[in-house]
Amino acid sequence: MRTDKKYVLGISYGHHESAVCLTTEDGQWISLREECLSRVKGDYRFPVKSALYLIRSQGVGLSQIMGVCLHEKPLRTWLGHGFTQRLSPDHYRLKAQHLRSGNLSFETQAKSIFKVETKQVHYANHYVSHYLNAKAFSKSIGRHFCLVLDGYGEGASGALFSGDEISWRELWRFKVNQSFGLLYAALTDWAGYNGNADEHKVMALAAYGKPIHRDFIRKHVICGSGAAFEVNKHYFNYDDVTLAGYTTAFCEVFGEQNDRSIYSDISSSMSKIAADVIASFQAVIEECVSEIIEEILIDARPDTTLLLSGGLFLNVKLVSRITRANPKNRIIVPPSPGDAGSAIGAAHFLSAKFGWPFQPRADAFCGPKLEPLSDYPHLFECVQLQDSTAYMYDQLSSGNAVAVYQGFAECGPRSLGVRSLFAGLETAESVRNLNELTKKRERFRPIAPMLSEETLAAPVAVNGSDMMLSRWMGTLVHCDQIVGPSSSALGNIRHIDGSMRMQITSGREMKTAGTHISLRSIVDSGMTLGNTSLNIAGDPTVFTPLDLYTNLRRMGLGGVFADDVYYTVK
Amino acid sequence: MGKTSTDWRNLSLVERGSAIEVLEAAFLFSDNPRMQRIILEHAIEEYRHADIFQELATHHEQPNLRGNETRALISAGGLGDISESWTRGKVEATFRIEIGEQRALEALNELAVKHSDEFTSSRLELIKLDEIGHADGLTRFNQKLIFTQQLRRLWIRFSFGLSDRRRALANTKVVSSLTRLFFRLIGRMPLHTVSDIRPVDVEKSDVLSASKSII
Repeated sequence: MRTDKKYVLGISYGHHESAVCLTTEDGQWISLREECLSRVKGDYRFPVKSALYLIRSQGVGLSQIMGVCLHEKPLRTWLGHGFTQRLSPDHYRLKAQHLRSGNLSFETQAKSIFKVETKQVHYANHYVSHYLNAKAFSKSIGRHFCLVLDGYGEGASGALFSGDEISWRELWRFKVNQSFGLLYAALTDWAGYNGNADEHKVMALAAYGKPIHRDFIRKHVICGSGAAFEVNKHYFNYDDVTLAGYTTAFCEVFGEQNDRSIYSDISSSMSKIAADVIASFQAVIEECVSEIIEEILIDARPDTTLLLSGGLFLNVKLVSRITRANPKNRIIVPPSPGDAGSAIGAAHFLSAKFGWPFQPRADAFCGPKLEPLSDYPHLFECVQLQDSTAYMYDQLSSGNAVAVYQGFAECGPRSLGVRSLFAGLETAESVRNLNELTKKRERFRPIAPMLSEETLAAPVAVNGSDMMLSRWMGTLVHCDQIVGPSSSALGNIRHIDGSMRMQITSGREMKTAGTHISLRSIVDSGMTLGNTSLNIAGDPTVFTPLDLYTNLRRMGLGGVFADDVYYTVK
Repeated sequence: MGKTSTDWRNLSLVERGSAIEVLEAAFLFSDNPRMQRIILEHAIEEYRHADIFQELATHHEQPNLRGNETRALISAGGLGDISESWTRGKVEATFRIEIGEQRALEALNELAVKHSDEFTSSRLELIKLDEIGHADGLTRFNQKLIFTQQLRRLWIRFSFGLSDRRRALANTKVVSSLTRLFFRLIGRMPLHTVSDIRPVDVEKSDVLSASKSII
């Protein structure tokens, strides 16, 4: 239904994970990643499909769009990197290509697609976008600090802000040679995976190793303490985009680059060597960031709120360590702290510029409502079940994977029960089936359990921040700390180091998300479920019914729980 | 080119790229459920081909991809700048796929000559059979599509003319009878009433121009 409301669009693109956020003048907003529609994982291109999808699904006319805002100042980003020293000719050739293919052409693209005028095109600051993204998930925070750490943006790698409900001030900026984001991307590349995409896999690998290189790294690679640390350029290349992020000196110390095929046998000596290096870097990064936070909070009131944003805080091990170390502080990490989330920050920025309110959210279900499958009778057939909850329960108990597709799409990278694949955890076979046969993903990656807040027999040994973050990013808990779910269930999903990324949900939360009624009943009954995203082989999580159809067929699943009923795939 | 120069991982990306392109085309056929389902079947087969090429890469002990996989997929899969694809209509989308299938067939024939071992050739044969089916089906479909598009164009032109005349006649009748009634009440009949009736300028209407630009 079309109304006369005014809207603004926040857009992030050009590096990885482009996204869009549509905001109304009364502060309501909705966000979507481009990969949901383009089906290219980590799509960095102009988010035209997601923008038009949001505009159409909300019934917005282009004349109602008052402005569009990019998440960063592109020229500052372009000039701020790769010109500090003499580099290879290929590097400059690539830089020249970015002039055309990167987000420097934002104004031209925005004008041609959204029919806006030059005066309606705006640019937010990269780190302000990250900060405002975190603020969009923070209700009544009062005075606070916000630490942003990511790979690179506008000639820096992070920033520190202080602010209150309406204003903010930048206190500190981290230099490029302090970039933990670029370091982790280089490490991911060295481990044999894709930098800026597969960091979560490398984080999972860290649990298989021991931090035996910790002392060497602290002494020679990441030198200094607190906010004054520096990454030694002898081991990492942050400048030349045509070369790997690590140097030959790095390989001399830690070994040559790996091929990901070595992890098919996780107990092999090669994978153990790689895991030790990863575990060491993970430990040092955790230490360094903890030191920075200690410095920030040293003179602050003990209950100061701390917002964490930027791609580095997708690392749940790091975030869990911070929340454990600061139990009195309220710590908030947005569901999508990386570049995709900064589209929300850009929209927030433009709303603030126009004097519009921006309603903070307390949940991660900020995407559009998934389409009903009843509109696709040529692909899905509704099956009249007497009791769909009992049927779902039977499927889970017998070790089958269950697909759920209903509710509002999540804005972060994690599936929270709306576009999810579930497995009962009582048998090891069901977990293995889900991971290896259905999802076709790496054997070493753990499956996150979903537990109901109401049915946990005893409060988990986590503080308030963990409890809140566990709803959208999960929190790392040792399996010994959880009382309630059966020990066999927990034994089947505990990671090698005994930890698990737990998602605690509640009936109210699931109702807000619009999840399937049978799923709600089963989670309420206290059954612990293994929850993973509804996708196959690293493809983007399904979004439209057409993706759902192709993914279910590829996974060999015969049906899906949607529209509060059960559908079979035709 | 020797046997070792075949980059199976790259071929897998090419197939994944075409699966995405086919999936994109399926969105354009929301008005034709039967056709949409056939196109989705095609997309699933392209994804399967991508898996087969991955299997072949493992069989031939090729290292995994290096660098940014997203950029590699966009480049090898021919997905290009996103702003190119969102304006595509049915005809352009299906023609692109048809040309892609024909090129794939040529490439498969070359590969079959180079790789005669049983493991590789059996899998290439599987893909080739699918691609022949796709190429034939698409050629027939595109011929039909062009024909129906031309018919539709003619029909639209005819119906526009018809509706314009109908609307003009209806408007004229309603307005002139209302005007007659109005001026009968006040006792005067102006002469210019009928000549001033013009259709609404749809091109200048905000709402329509906005939706037009999306499409």
